[in-house]
Amino acid sequence: MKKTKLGVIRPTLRHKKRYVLIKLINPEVILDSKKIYSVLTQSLQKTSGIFVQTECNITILEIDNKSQTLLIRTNKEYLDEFIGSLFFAQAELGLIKILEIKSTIKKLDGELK
Amino acid sequence: MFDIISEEILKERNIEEILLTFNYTTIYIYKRIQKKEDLNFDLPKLKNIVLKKAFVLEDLNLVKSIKEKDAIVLVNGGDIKSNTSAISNKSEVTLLNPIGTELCFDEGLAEIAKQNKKIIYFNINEIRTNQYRAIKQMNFIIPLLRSKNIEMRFVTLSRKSKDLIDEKILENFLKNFNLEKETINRFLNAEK
Repeated sequence: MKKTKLGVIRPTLRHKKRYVLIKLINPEVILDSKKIYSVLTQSLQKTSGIFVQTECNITILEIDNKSQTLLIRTNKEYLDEFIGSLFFAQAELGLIKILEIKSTIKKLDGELK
Repeated sequence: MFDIISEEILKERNIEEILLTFNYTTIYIYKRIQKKEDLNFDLPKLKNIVLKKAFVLEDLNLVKSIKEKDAIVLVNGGDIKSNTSAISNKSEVTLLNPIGTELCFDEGLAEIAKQNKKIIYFNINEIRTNQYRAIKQMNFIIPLLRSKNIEMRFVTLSRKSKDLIDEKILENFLKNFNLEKETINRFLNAEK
């Protein structure tokens, strides 16, 4: 049987992403990606519902324990909902400060670059 | 960013550093006033942040004793009586947190607030403590005030640094109450 290659999604059809650099001030939890991911998804589900949570595609790309910063990738369409949901995440993660929101990792000026 | 916080927060270590990371340049410090003597309190001095006074009055008659022109004078709401007395008062008194055990704010009060040019202050941390009740009542009151072009302010009344909220988070969170970005920014960056 002849092998056929899977078609690549055209750039115009791909979901646009945003990279959010977050700083945790006096974090109340140990910076563990599983724990942070569950807190972020739960607070997003609480504010916007399960459908937005699944579409938002939250991915924790990097955690820097030294500077206590997180680099998170989300879907551009649900960026506002994600940022707004951090209001509830603060109860478990401690103070949250949004340092930067950029369309590519390269454009970030923060410590995680 | 505009905010009113408790004086208790100033006792924390590195508080100035934390406030500076949240881009505060001026901040109001509130104190509950039960009697006339409570009005005389001094604020500590911070190097890079200007601290101003805010009074939360227990008795509305104490308004006459306040001499500071720069201060914010608030009365705690939460029931029909206190909401009505704060809004219908012709002096500089403004209403803090009209949310109570049951809805005690209606179109009539909003109309009086508009006539008296009042600003309504909301304690945003109420959503964390009384989630269902606060969101339900704010979902009614905020669009009502917006329709009548009444000014609103969203404050944290933080007692600990943990209660502070980043401006971007608050801005996006307030969009859930059907407020436009420009309006939210105007409320959050007001001077008083």
